[in-house]
Amino acid sequence: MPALISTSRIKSTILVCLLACGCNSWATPPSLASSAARLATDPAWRALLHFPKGQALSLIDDSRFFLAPNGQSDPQAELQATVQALYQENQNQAQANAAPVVPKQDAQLEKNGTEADTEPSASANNTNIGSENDKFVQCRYPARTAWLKEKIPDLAAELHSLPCPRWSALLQQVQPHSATLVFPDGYLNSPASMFGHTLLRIDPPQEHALRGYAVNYAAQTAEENGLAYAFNGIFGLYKGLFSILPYSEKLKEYQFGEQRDMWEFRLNLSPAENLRLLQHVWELEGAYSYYYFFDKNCSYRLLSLLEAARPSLDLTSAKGLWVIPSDTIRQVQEAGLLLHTSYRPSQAQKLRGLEKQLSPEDLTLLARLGDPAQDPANFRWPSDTRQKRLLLDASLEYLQYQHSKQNFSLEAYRQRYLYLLNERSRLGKLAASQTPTNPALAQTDPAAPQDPTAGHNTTRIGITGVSQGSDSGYLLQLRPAYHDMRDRQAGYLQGAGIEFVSATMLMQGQSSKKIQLQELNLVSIDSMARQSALLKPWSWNVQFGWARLHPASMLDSTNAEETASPQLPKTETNPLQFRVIGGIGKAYGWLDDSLLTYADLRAKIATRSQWNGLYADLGWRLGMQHYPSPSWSWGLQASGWETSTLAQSMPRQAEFHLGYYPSKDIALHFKQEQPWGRNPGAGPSRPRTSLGIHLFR
Amino acid sequence: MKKILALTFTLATLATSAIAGPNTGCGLGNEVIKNQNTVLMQVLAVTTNGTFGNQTFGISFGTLGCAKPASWVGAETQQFVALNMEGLAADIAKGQGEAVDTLADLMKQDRATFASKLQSNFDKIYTSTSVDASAVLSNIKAVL
Repeated sequence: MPALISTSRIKSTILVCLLACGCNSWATPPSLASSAARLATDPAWRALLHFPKGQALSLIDDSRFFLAPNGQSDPQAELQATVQALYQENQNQAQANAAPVVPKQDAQLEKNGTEADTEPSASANNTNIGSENDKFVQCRYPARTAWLKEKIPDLAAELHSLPCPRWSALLQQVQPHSATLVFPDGYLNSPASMFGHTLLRIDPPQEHALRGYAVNYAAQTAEENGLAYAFNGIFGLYKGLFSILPYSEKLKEYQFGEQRDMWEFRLNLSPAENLRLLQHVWELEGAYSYYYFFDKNCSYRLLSLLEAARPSLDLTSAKGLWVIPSDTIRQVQEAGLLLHTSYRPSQAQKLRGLEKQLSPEDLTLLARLGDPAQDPANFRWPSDTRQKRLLLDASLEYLQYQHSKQNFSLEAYRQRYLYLLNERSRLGKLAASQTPTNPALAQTDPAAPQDPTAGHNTTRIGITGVSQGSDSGYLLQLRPAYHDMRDRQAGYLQGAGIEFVSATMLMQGQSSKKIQLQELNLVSIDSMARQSALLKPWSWNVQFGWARLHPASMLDSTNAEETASPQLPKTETNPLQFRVIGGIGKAYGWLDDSLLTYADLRAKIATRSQWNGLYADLGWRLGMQHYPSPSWSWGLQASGWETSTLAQSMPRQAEFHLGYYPSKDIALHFKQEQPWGRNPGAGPSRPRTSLGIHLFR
Repeated sequence: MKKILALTFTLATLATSAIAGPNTGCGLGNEVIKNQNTVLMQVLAVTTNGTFGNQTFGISFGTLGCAKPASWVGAETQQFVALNMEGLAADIAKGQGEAVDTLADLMKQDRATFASKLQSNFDKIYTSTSVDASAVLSNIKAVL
């Protein structure tokens, strides 16, 4: 672009002339020179640039966020560039009609210092982030500006407030007063959601949640392809962005569309801190950072926002290899930020609560009320007004639920909805003793389940003593994430088991110290969705990874005598197989949901031994798990594979399990495994007893 | 072998989930966008924590495509009603709830009286299935 170069040359000449004249137009305020280094190390400044404590690189990847070319690695350069830019545009405005400073458009411009870009084409190009209306640095970086003015008195004295229409409009609309950390839990039958999610909500002074604004970080994904999701998400190939939108929109998305329970944790940030939070979120508009599923994900990025609001916090520097949403909530709790908690049940959860209070006749009528094709003239209402109220409240939820399954048209939905509302409006209010209609229950309400801070920590380490006949040994277990149905249940989604990279090693023999990998499950997902009168989901499970052919077995001092399975070479009685298993079935809840029963059919594709050929198998699993109190659980399970010749030479499995949870992060386990049916003595499978301890950290 | 694979993938092609689309109008309820995600894709999609919602920044009032608000009600009240049509209608029909309480505060009315009066005049407020936020607010004003 020759025109640009020549303009720069002209400007350089002017610059030299001005300096020669002794004009101060381009100089920075005197008080900055001495304090720049000190200010740049201030936690507040570093927090605004997303520099975790003690780290040399900002978490933000978009270079357009930084005014200095090396801003991503140099907070001081960024500070100086910001002050320079603020000062510059102030001078320009004072001289009237100069174009605003356009940050980091062209590396060449930057090298010449922050010269005002008088090229009209560049400023009209709108290639800057957030450049639609508010081009001034003051307007694009309100948090930085406010803080710098506070710390540099000369700058505060010099700067005139410039009009920032778009920022002002947002500020007026959002009215930041208080902030809430929101946790939409996962929901069954959607492993994509199973770790949950976190977002922030900023509320106006009267603290109406429905008038709040959600601040959300998410990967920008265009694909529909699951494999692309997985790959791009893990390796940081998606750009993540923050967005602000009305909280009620998010509520609809989570509670109705996705049927997710939500917890809202009110934070003790002050109105001034919440203002800074919103100012900083504004600065992040359009500034991407790469989304990494394991560590730099939605929950991690939110922590940077909290640090910007309250710079004394250090939430980001101690990041491990992975960041799980519920862990960040516990982290925020430990930092002393949580005030109180509310619970919003999803629509499905509300329905489950309501249907328990309805009689079978009511439920029949309910199904018809939720079907717009049924003629209302045929409805026979309960004679009791209280019962009719409950029925109508349930029917409103049920109709919406059916509509979300796209079972009928929008107009049919509206007509039936209006009909039900009209009927309901004639019946007055529910008595206080009946199901509360306020959707946000306080955590102290007995109907509210425990929130994630009550849940065990996500990394599980275990040591278990095992004994089988005359053999004994130890199992060492490591599971980085997350939860299964035999762990302490409080604070976790009921029925959801998800395990990542779960490894079990067997150590055996006092004298011969043999050690062997028993199992390395890469992913195991168990989705036990309970049936109810109205909701009849499938339950299913998926797992893949390595496991021994005979799971309940020991190392083989005795095995040498056994006849190897006819399908396997003699030397491999209990090979490590790679297998993929999928199952589908039904689960039921009894005794007020304290008892779970489940049954499913399963299919397996596995290697015979190591990578020596594949085979397929069909099988089944049947079991029950009882949770009589939060402190302990017990269960029985039977399973077997049926169709392959390999399976038919092996017994089936049965097991009894007992768990005791003396505290949130300690669990004791007892298990008795019993081969049965079909050749129970064949191969290495024997009755095996285990007793162990799990620690969660 | 192929049969086994086919069976496995058939078993995997289970869950379809539907999500409510963005509130593109101001009436009761939204069009539902059916989201065909097989379980297999869901398992793989776990890595991005599944974001399907539209991403927006700095929503300004009046972008919802609703009819122009009456002059007597603030833009925020208008937006509140437009974004919470179903929830508000349900709360008014029940005579209590978070949405109707919020509206009472916005309109500087006593919560209990407001909810009660609106409930007894429900059919005068929600006069048809095509009623939108502006109409609802006008009708509420007439009833107060």
